[in-house]
Amino acid sequence: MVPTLLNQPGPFRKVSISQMLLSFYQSRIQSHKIPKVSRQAYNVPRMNEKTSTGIWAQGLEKRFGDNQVVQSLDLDIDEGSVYALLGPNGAGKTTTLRMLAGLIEPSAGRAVVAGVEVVHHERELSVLHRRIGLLTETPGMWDRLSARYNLIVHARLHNLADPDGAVETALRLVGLWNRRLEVVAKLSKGMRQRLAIARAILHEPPVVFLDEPTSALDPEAAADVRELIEQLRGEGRTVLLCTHNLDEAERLADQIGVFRQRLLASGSVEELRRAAFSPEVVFRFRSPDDPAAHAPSVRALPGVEDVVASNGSLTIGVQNPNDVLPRLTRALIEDGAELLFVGERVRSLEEVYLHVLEAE
Amino acid sequence: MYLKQSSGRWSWYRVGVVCRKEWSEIYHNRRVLLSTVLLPLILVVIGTSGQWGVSLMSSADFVNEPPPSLGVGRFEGLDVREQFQASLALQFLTLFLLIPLLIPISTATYSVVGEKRDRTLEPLLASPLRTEELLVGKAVASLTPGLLVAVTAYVVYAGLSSLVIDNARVFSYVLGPIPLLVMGVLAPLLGLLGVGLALLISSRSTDPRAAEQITSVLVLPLMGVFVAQVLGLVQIAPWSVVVSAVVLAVVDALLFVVATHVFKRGEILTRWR
Repeated sequence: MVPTLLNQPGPFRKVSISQMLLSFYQSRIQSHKIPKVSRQAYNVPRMNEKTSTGIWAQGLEKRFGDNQVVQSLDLDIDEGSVYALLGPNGAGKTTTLRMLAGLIEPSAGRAVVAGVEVVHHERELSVLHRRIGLLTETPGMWDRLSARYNLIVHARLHNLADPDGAVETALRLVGLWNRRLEVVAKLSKGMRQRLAIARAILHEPPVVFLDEPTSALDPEAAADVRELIEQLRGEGRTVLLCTHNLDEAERLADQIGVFRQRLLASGSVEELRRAAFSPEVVFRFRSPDDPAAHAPSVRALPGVEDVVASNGSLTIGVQNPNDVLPRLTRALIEDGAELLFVGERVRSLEEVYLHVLEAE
Repeated sequence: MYLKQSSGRWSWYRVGVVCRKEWSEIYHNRRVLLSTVLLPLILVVIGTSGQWGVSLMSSADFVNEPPPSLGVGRFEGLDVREQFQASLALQFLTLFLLIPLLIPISTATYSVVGEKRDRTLEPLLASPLRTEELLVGKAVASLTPGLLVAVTAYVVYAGLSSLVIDNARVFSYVLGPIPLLVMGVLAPLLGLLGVGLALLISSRSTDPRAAEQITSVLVLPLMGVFVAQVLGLVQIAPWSVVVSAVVLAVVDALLFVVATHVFKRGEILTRWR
């Protein structure tokens, strides 16, 4: 049941009894999946935001002088999910990440990350930073110091009960335990990146921000990092991922946001596909059968929007593939078509991404 | 992972972590390490040689009208040679102040610009470390090696000078109330001034050498005091040390206030480039 929140003006909002019960339930049983409530629609922060491990932002903006870098950003990322922020260079992804991580003060809007409101007071930020892990665009390691000491410093800053044990676990996780005593300057680019990931997850934060986590890695190391991100999700951590790698985003992310100064589109890959393109079905014909000759037989059928013949196949825009596909197939066979392949056309994320950007 | 309880309050423990990290970096940075050792070594050698050279002379070796740099006439009850030794001791005391000023400037600029160049600040700022803790950690880490080296070098210089200075009153200008006041009070305050300015200037610079050179302009007033001493225009006395200390303490406090206003988290990330 979706609770009803009364959007009253002023600081006080009425909350129904069912909501209070729901809030209590959510705060007690974190792992339990509860139907998502669109808080943006109601302009109301999450009831259990103090115990949540997700990411929520409303009207987040950043201006540097006259330059508007991030514009009215609303985000609602479920705990334990992976959200990929896609966008061209200079789109404001890193600035967004820095705002959510409490490193840059937003010009407007508010955010709650890992149950902590992002407020720019040193004391509150210190608390927030214990609950987040950040992988920056560049690894940012102290080159003259050993891999282990780099992590030890951060383990101590996080006041971990057993810094040595935490560092060992993190280094083993990213496969650098055997290189722990080497100075970072001697490590390869990929190793430094893995070390930076180890630093980000050293204190096992509930929310992890990853800015281009596989950009400097070879395919094998990138696969390891992807596996690690899967593992983080499996452990119930929320991951916000900034990436240019569309394949990576498609494979890892539960939700994807296409971003250029503002959020142009957001949803699962499937939702984005449906929003960007009408469903299409494809019929491939055996040569020398001419697809164009069969086009009139399907054009008039109900549910058909558009028919294009090219390269030995017919691509037909439809309203609902499940309803229309059997009828189309029957009509074409009755028309004497010799079919090699019948199926729904699946648009790549790249096509969707470019379409969303071009539409702006 | 078990995290100890923390309310995000100021933590000296985190300041200590930053300090130790900074010292490790200084230890592994040959250029900074060399600059830490070279200047004190030169001053010890020149200072001791100067006192030794004067000790070999007799009062009769001095000309009838000695130049003001010899300090003759300023120390009653001492013969000409002893007056020259006492004057030399006070002049070297001023030069030894270069150590707590220059070494912290060098270490602080490399510490800040190095972080900017290697982009290591962002992960540090994303940790529970507070900005003030970071700055205090860096300041203390930059200040202490310079002070330690200055005191050590001065003790070595005083020890060697004791072998060539016979008169206890003359030696009190090497190791007595004035030198103790200068090295104990003036040196740390000068060091703080150097660190504060180095941190401020480094925050606007991407080249450590440029930042170091700009900050090193601070040496000029000190050299001015040295030249004035040589010309016989000023003489280090307890009252002048106390006045200088009060002025420096006020300037250091103002610098701290400016630094805490300038070093905001967002500023550091967006402007420290």
